[in-house]
This record gives sequence, structure tokens and C-alpha cells, in this order.
Amino acid sequence: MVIALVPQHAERIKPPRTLSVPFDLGRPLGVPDDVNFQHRVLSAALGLFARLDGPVFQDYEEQAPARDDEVTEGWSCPVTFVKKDSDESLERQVLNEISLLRPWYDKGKDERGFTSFGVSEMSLEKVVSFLALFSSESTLSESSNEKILPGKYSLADSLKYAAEDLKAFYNESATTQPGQVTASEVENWYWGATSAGRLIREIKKSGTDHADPMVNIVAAFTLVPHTQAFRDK
Amino acid sequence: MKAEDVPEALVNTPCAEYELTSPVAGSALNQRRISIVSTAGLMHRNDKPFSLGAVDYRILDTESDQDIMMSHISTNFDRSGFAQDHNIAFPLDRLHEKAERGEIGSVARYHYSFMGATEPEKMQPAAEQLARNLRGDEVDGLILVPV
Repeated sequence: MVIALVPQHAERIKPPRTLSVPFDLGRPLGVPDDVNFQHRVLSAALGLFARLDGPVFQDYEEQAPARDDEVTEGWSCPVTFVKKDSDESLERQVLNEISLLRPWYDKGKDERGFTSFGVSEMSLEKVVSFLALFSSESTLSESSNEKILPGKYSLADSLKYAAEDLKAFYNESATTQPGQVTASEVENWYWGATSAGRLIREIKKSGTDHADPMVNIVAAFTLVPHTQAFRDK
Repeated sequence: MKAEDVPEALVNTPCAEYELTSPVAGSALNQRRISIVSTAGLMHRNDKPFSLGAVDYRILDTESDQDIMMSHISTNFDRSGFAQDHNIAFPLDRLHEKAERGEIGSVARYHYSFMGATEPEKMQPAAEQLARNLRGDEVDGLILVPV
């Protein structure tokens, strides 16, 4: 059976059994760390195995719970970052943010027992230096990439993996902090209020002029979400 | 997502169509062996990450001690939920709990992840191989979880 986040796709494909859920992309089971909620979604999905009158298309009606703003007045990162007009380089600003977020990241990693950071196989500091180098030198070549990560991934792949690793560090730091946080709050915080988000947005601009066509594609389409494109228009 | 909230570009993504769409009868749910197939670009820490155009899959072994990570090419979905709780896109713990309660028969040792984000036809050879793997593992209940 299929859990569907895009009902129009399921309606066209017609899998034998579909549970169409109303949740954000990236959250097919609805709410992180809400065991009972996830069990209800999964029970609804598994219950469709008994249906033989297919193709079955069932809407899951329960919405992900909205934050109770009477209890928690929105979420804001308790870590204060340097303002955008700082004299420091963007790389230095990102490293400063990381040092402030590191206790939260480490705490989250200890509590959860896992981290999603590391796809690029670079250390966090190397991720930042690689991305900063990329943003300031749009002619960064494959040979330069070899010096950073010899024998591993292409420049385009390294760019993507490093960008997602940086975001993973920030995501894990943010979601460890006290208070409920929604997907859109984390997204807007990362892309609008952090130097890391600004760094990736800069790379998107410079990467689309790169000589490597795969770097062009990665920079243009896979680094910054569509929902955040307004920041650089 | 609610249908009215899906971005137009996503709505118009070409989709495969199949002749066979009727469900197949099987065992009662509490007798079924359940496996997950994800399209979240999931992998174990030491696996090769997915890259643009990938048509293969990764094996998610419940007996591995390696972290599960996400290496999907798209940036247009929330990853903070997965950073917080892997069950949001890979509900393995929830399946184990259902097995303990007797709601399902068992949880397969192996689960799988594609990345998607490419023409569906190109993934067919890998999907057919995966189907053979699932039969060999006696899986008779498959949950396809998107991202």
C-alpha cells in the first residue's frame, strides 16, 4: 500500500491501496516524536490491506496538531546571531553560528543516539570552508575538489552533500532547543536568519555560472527551496 | 498535503500508469510480514549517497549499527522532522511496536529506499529485483512511504 503526500499523483497512478495524508512534504507520518499520532496514521495505512475493492483511495482526515500558541508563543532560536552587516567574512559568521549551536547539536545527538550529518564525509569545519571557497571562487574546479576530498565525489555531488550536511547540523540544533517548532519556522529561520542559509543562497547565484554543467544544475535546482526563492528576487 | 496546497509544478509531474491496479488478497494483518520502501533517499552512513538521476536503491538493514541518513537530491521538502525523529519518514520503531502488540505478524529485517526524482521507467529493473528480494524475505505487506 502507498502513503501519498501528493493526492493528484496517486489519483493518476492508481496504486491498489492508497492512504492520502494532509501533511507537509517530508512528514508523511505527520508529527515528529508524537508516537500516538504516528501509530494512528500507520494503523489507517495498514488497515487498507483488508480492502479488496480497489484501487482504494482513502483520505486521512486527522490534521497534524497546530502548536498551542497560548502555551508557546511561536518559536525563536534562543541563540543570537551576528547581524548581516557584520565586517566579518560570511565563512567566519557561519563558523561563529556553529560554535553557538554546537551545544544544542551535541545534546540532540546524545539524546537521540543518531545524527543525519555526514553524507559529504567532510567534517563540519571542512564543509564550511569548502562551501565558502565555492561561493567566492565560482571557477572552483574538479582538481581543487580533489584536494579537499580526494578520490571521492564529483564537484557537483560534493556541493550538494556539503550543503545538506550544513543544513542537517542547523536542523538538528534547532529541533533540540526547547519549545515546539514547526517545519516552516525552521525553514524560514535557516534561510532568512542564519549566515549558513545566506551562504547557500550566495552559492546558488554563483554556481549557475559555473563551467561544470552538473554544478549549474545542482546550484540552480537543488540547493534552495522554491519557497525561499523570494529572498533573492 | 491537501490537494489545493500542492504546488502546480508538482501536480503536473509526469506519473507512470499501470494496467494492474486491483488489490491482491492476503493474510490477516496480524499474520503479515511488513517491509517499508521509502523514496526519501535514505541510506546507512557508509553507503554511497544518492546523486542526481539515481535509479538504484539502498538496503536499510535493521541489524546494522550504522546511522540512517538522508541523501535526497531535492531541497523542496522539510528535513527538520527527519532530523528530529526518523519515524516521520521511516516508521520502523512504530512497526516494531505494532509487532510487539500483535497488530502485525512481523517486521522484515530489510527495508529499502529509492530516491525517485527521475523517470519511473528507469527504476523498473531495480524495482523488479527488489520485488524478488521481498518475496525471498517472505514479505507480504509492503508500505511505500514518500517524502
